[in-house]
Amino acid sequence: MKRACLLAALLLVGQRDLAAQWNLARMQPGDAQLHLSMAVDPAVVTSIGYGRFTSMFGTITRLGLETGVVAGDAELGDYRVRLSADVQLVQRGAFRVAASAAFMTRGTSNWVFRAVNFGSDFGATAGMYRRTWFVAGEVGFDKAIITHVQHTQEYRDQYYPDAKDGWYLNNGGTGRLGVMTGRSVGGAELLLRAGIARTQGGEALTVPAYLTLGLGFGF
Amino acid sequence: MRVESFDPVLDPVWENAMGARWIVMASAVTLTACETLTMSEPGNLVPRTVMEDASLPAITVNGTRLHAEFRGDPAKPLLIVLHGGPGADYRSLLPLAERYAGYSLADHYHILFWDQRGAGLSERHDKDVLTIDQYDADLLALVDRFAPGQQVTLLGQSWGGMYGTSFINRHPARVREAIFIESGPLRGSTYERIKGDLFDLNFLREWLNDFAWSAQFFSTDDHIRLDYQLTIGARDHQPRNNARKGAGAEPAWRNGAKAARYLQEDGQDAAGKFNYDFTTNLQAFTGRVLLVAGARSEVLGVPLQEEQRPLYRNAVLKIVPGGGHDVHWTHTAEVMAEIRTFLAAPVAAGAR
Repeated sequence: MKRACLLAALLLVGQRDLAAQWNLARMQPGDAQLHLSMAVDPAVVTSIGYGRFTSMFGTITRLGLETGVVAGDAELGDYRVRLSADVQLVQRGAFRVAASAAFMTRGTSNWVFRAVNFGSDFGATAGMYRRTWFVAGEVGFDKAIITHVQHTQEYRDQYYPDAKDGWYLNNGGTGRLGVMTGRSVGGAELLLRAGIARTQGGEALTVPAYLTLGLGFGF
Repeated sequence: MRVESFDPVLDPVWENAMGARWIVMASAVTLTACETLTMSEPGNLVPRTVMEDASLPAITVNGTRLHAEFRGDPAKPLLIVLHGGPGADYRSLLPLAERYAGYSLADHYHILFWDQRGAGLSERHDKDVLTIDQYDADLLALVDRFAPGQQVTLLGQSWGGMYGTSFINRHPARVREAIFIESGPLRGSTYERIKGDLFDLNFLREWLNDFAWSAQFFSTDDHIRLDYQLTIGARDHQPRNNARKGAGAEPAWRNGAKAARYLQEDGQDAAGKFNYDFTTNLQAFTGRVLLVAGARSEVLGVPLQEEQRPLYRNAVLKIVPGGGHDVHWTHTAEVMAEIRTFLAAPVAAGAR
């Protein structure tokens, strides 16, 4: 019941990031972790994050903060920041199930519009976790809840002068299904994660798959 | 535990928690109070089509509503304008009906500007009717309706040149002459050979990442969002076209994403390789063809047009200095001078 309440609380605040992906079998309450990652998700994103492991309601929980920027020109207009919480729900020997929830803000700047977005991500992972390796499957859904869009003058001049700026609500989302694996050497852990993504309506994305390569350091 | 012995006045942790709660509540109220918009609402992100705006000029052909308008005298021979894309619109081609150095096409032709099926401000459609065969039937219906029993002149740009050539290939007797500006590849094998030069698909490019990243802000689950997303990539995906950017760039109304996608897919085999051929019967066409290339259009310009010119029996190539793939927009007067000279030449015997 306590775990269910905790999960419900997490759902209320709203991760496709690495939070639930690190080897839960290696971490203890009080541990901390820094991670770096490079991903195609769905653009080329380079991220850095910090996670803190705690014990809440009798189970291990990770609270995390991650920020990432999208590749391209040397500008920071395309970014995301995530606040995440992950909780281990089930452990039967080496088999573990974890749920994750995240609140995130994202920004973008392109020739058509500039936008800031607030969204949520819910996911679950299940797999075999040993101290030096793990392999797991994941499902999840990333929801774009509300987005502020401001169109550029270039778009207005070239395409549509009456394009509406403002807060756009309920802009769909992206589901995912994938696998991940990690290998630990000393305090470092290398992670590889891949899967397919579909829109809320089941359409393929421009980049229909995601791929993440991560490196974490526990301390 | 702190919760069992707290003092709501003195306990700073409680104060902080209450403060945070008020911030969250205030934020929620503020967001709720804001007027919110819906991306799928017509007119918010991209212009309304003829199905949503009755004031737009339109015609109905083969069960679809097409955004269309005429210029010139209805008694004159019909000239049909074929825009690029597929999926784009005729907005940037409208200046071709204006007057340059005392000459206007509208003095000599009844000019039909129209947005093709699923494109521009025409009615949106799904995959089943976005095929090359359907496009051919649409153009034939326009010819039969507005020039019954007569030959027409075609003026196409980019994809419009491919479309026009495909029509000539199928109905050579229905076309008197054609003007194709920066026409795309007329054979799938040619497209396969040049597409690596045409598209900039370096996965670290800003345009490609902007395009992909947009999926984090809205999912492409309906026509409007698809059209909007396509526009993000429209400006920079073919850099070697050397089209003008920023102020004075070629305008458009809407990129019909499904038309762009499914027309191209219809020209591909099961493995996704282009296998269409619009030239199988082209030698049956005896009319004249003017090909126009922008000198700065590196891939679709002079090299491609020189290669494709012999595919027509009677074609000439004119090169406009300084022009890119958008030469019809940036160098309209120079293009019109070439068109004027071409059309002033005697019409081939046997034309009606």
